[in-house]
Amino acid sequence: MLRFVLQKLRNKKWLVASLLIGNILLVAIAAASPMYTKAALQRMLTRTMSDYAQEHSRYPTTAYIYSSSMSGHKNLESDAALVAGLNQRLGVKPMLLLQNRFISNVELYPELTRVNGGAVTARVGTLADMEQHIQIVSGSLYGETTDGVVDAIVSEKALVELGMMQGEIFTTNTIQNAAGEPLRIRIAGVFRASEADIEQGSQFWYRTPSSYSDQLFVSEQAFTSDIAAKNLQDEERRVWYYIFDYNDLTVDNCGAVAAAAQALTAEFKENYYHSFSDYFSGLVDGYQVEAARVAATLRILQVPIYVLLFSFIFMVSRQMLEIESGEISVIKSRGASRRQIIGIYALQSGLLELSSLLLGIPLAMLICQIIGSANAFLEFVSRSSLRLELTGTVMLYALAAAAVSMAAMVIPVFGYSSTTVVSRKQSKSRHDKPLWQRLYLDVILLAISLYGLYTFRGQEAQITAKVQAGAGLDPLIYLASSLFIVACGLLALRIIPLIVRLIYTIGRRWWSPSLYASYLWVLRSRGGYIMVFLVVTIALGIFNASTARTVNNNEIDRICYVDGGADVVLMEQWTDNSDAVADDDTGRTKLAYNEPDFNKYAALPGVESATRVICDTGASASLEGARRSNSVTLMGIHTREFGQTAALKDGLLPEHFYSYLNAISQKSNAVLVSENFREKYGYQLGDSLSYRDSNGNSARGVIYGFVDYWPTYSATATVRESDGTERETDNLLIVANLPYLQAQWGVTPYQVWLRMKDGDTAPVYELIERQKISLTEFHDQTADLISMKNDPAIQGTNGILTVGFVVALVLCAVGFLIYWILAIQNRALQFGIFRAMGMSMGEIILMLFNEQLYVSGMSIAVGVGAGLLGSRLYVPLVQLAYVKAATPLPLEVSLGGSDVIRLLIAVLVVVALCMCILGTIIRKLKIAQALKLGED
Amino acid sequence: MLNVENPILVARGIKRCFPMPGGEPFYALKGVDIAAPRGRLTILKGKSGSGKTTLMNILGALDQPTEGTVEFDGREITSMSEKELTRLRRFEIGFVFQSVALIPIMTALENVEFVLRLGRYPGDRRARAIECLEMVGLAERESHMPAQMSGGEQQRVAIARAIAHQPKLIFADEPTGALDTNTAINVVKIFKELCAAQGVSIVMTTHDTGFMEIGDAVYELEGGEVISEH
Repeated sequence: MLRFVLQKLRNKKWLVASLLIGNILLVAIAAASPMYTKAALQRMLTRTMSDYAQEHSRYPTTAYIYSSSMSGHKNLESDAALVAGLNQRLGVKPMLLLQNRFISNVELYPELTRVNGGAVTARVGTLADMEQHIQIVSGSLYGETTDGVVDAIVSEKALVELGMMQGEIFTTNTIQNAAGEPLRIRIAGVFRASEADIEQGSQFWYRTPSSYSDQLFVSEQAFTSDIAAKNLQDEERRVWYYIFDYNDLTVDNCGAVAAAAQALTAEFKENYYHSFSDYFSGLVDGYQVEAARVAATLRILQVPIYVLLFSFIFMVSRQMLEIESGEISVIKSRGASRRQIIGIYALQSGLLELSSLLLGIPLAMLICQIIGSANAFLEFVSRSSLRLELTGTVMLYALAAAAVSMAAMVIPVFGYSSTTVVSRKQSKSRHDKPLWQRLYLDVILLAISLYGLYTFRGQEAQITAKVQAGAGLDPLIYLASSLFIVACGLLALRIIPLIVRLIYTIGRRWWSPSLYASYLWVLRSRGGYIMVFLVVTIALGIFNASTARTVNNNEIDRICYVDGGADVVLMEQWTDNSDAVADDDTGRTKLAYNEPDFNKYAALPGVESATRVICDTGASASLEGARRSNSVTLMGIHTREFGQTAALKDGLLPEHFYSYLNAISQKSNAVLVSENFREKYGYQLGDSLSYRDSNGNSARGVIYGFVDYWPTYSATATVRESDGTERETDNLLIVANLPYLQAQWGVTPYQVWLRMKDGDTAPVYELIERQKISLTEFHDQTADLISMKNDPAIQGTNGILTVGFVVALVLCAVGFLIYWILAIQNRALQFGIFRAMGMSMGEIILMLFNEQLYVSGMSIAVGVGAGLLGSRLYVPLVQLAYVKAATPLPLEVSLGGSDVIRLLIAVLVVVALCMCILGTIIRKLKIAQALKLGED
Repeated sequence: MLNVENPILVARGIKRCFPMPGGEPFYALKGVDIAAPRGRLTILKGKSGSGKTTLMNILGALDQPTEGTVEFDGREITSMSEKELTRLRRFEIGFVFQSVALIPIMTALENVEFVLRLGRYPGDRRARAIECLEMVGLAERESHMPAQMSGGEQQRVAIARAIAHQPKLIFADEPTGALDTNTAINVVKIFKELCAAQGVSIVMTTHDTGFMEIGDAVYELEGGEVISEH
């Protein structure tokens, strides 16, 4: 039987190749899904850790164990044993285990009294293995204890803090030597971290040498024999830092490690004299919440890709059976049993699936790397490659996909295998409408999806609230959008033939033979699946593109126009004379600020423009009827500089941003105010308004314009009440001329807004570093944009939507090609007849072209239409899942015209390719041969 | 070759060679001479594999001979361009194939009408199509799809289609092959009537010895050669 099947496969190269492509893609996507999700979550976990390390300058995967044996609690030894076995408790190997044993509150008296030296209280301890990690700056390392004096070394910081001198000898009564005399300690040397440790960023100096500012280190041997041995066990403290590589923390083990750490913390709490703490368990908890959200979102986003793949397999296997049904009935009529027939097909699809698994899994890894490097939709960067693993889950997904696909190919054979030549010929004659059309499934699906849309539209506020509370993408919203697209596809299959029928009927008498034949073919052949497939693929591709573009663009807009109005917004630490003001009981001293140098920014190379902006969120305004509003943001701007530096998205304001700036530059006390002054309080242009800054300085302004949007301004603010509930309040804005405000009030603290050349903010960092400027506010838009793109939810979404789009593109192309090649083979006889009847090659090609115009052309048009409409309707809901912070900007669905064009070009290339192949086949077609082919 | 006066079709020295994978080329026809009388029924008789279908394809310009010439109505068709051949098939020749070869997406009527459409039939196409279907006794099945008809009915539709545009010559390859004796006799009767009434020339192949005496000219083929003619 195997030989028979192999021969059969060889004879049907095209069919086998197409089925193989479909199956390889299916297996690859199925395997890539869990592989990518896991790798993305892994990257997210590692990033959580590395971000923490960067922000807090400490290694997150550190457990800290403090132990003492006071009041009879014998903790030291049991804790030491526990630490020794910690790698088993936590399940991760230590990268470094630091042990610091010390005795605190040791009173040290200098033997030689100095003017500036006196008794000090310090710790005396030992840090295991410190010898290998230090360099001696002066003096020497501790050696053997000589003449009863114990050598100790201190950090540079400790030397200064404790007021010690190198070589100085101290006596302490706290610790006695073997003879019961007070212990003498000499400061033998001063150390700092070794060059090698600094270069490698070794975790040994996880606590920097300067942080050991009150500890004298002696050798471990001296500590054990001379200090701790002297009945001081109860005084001894131990601190362990158990540091493990955060790369060892994986998606699989992080929960267990965190839980083990939390269990230990709780265990240690039972006894007051020791403690266990760590930095990572909280981080892991936070990560797990976020991971669940991201994983859910990624899973939902993948559903349409699966739907697409299965419908593809379904379509191809249907085509195959359509072709092979003749063969099946012939085998059947020649006496093959049903079991044999099913056996043949099971073996055939088994071989296919095996090859798909072999080729699909490596492809899956490639796909994962591609998704992993997606930076935005259809944009890739080289990132650190993903840690991909071939886990059991991955294999399970791949196998399941293969099994389902095999079932899709074999199960229909059961039906066919019971037909003989006769019954098959009879069944061929039936032209019933498919079941779904009789049940109006398309209309029902459309109704459901629109009802979903209607319902969700009404719940936008709740959805946003849920997302802010940590929920992911609502599967039902996404499902509704997919349903809409599928319904459009099915509806197209109902409507397109009606249109064709209309056209056909109108010109029935006059159609040339080729047009006539092509209309009949479109109407009567059962080629509907390719239409649904094309519509769904194209629409999903467009929907994917719009979703990704919208999510990205909204985030970018929020970062660019709401979070910060310019590339860099910063505010230095301002000093003032408030102490003097407070001390002055007469009240004559006025508050005055020391203005930091602004010119250093304006003059900085790489800065294209710089401007000063007063941004006072605590301002107030007097309103009609002697009311005051305290939720006023006052901005003081220098109009020309502001226009050069800040940016506002085009189209937000009815007129260009600059027109508003020009308006208030006309008069020094002119102001722009937010639209809610007009809406809520009835202000008009030309009205005057009095306002105060947060220091109580007051001014009057004349309204020269109303604005809905302004850089950094948000019309509503969410206020958290004391009981935890959130409330939205109006936020008012007054934009005044900075020179006017400064003339009235003197210099008050302002922000510095900078526009950088090519958005490169590095020079600002260098300046801040070099001049050691301390800042109270700092927004780096470039950095914010990068971190947005690295956000796992956004990154994963971009990756998956990109893959979805590419898969749609590939399937569209391959599906189309396969469909046609198979259809041509199927129609060889027809072409032979047409040719024998005297149709020229040109007429046959015209016939095919006209068929394509309706079958593919209309499907593509409907697909584009459904995709665009679906995007308009559903993307506003889908993107809600990505809105981390409320944005005052109006939502704009980005329809990504370039993506539609990309998709269309790909489809058209394939159509053209198909036409070329078709043309070649037809040209090569020998009529006699074709007729022979047609003979059963 | 029979001595035929004013023949509609003359084939001289027809050879057709098929290259065989890794072997001697196979000659399906080894030099056949044939003349078909105008307005008469010519029968090419032979067993399966005798080369009669190959010959028929060459006579009908569906295939090119390796050697030899075919003259149709005084014009040599073996050297015609594809364009001229298309015209020839469209206006002057009709085919009835061995396997039923109706266009599956068209009804009986549409199948017949399609040829008229192709042949730019000047009159009422529908009426003519029905007339042709009536000729083969199938007028009542005009709106049936090919798959809804029996083999014999389909074959008769094929004949109706072949005669509709009033070609000068009809080729019929084993038109009775798949039919029962009664239907087969009917089909041949229709052919005879066509020749008599409309002056159409017909060339048909058959392996059935029963029709020998009906033919106005009979060629018997075996192994790619004419072994008898009368």
